[in-house]
Amino acid sequence: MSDVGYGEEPTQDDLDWAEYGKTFTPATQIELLNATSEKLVGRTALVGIVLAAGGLVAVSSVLANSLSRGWAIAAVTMAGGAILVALVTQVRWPRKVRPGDIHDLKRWHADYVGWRRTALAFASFLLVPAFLAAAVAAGVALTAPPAPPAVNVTATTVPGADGGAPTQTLTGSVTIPAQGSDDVAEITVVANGETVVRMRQAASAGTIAASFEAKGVQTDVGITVTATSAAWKCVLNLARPRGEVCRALAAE
Amino acid sequence: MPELKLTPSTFACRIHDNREKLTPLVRGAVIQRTAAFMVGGANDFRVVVECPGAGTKEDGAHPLTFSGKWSRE
Repeated sequence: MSDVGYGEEPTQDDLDWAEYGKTFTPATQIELLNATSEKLVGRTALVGIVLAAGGLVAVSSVLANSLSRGWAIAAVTMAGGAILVALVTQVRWPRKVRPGDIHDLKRWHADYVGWRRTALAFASFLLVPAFLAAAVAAGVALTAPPAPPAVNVTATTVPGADGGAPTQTLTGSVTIPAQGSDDVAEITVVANGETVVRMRQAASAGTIAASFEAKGVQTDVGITVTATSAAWKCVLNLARPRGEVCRALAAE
Repeated sequence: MPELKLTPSTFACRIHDNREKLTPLVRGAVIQRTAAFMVGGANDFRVVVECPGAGTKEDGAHPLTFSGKWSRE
């Protein structure tokens, strides 16, 4: 086999690609790297939009579910890693270069381009699983059933002043899945037939969440917490805390 | 950086006896500007270079396409 390669008449396709190849100058390589770095930082913001499913899911809903929270943390970690790598590539070390010396210029260029190219490729690839994890987190949050309603009350005995009878402080919380954005829960705490707490709590991010406190409540009396929303009625009797506390109103 | 080996090692025009000029031109076209991008991938090349021709107005420079393979020694 001859070790001589003979030239052929170039096709128009050859000439077009050769012309395009002339645009890959050392300067455009650096411009390409800088543009990639800037784009990466901008695109990571999209991970947040995917996480919130374009506004359909509140971040609190994503974090409320342990599975979606795990995916969200993975997405944010990877997106953060991509940002970090992209930012590091924008750091420039002061290095002397003699622009008139082509050898020195080439060495400077190789130093500049070399690791940045690998780092930016890594960061770009990192964004793909970040987007996927964000999409999974949003999907899990969208499809997961809402957390069941819950009523919690803690009674703390407070010694009476000047030898008086002790009292108790009631602290508690109510969490009920909202029927809609305009759902409201009516919450009352009754001690010995007397209403010590009455409040209304509106829905926020798909949940009605309220906390309350009542001080100076007489001890050794029956305490009942009632929370009623459009879809749920919860009744917690501190003297008889067993059994199902909350019932769906539609099921009654 | 390792020396780049081209196969074939010599490049010529079928009309003009310019292989001493064309071979470095092809070599330069393969290396030029592509060094930073040459990581992995296929090791075949196809470049367009200008054959200087006979150096006269009637028989001047004309483009030629050369193909081959490159490797690092």
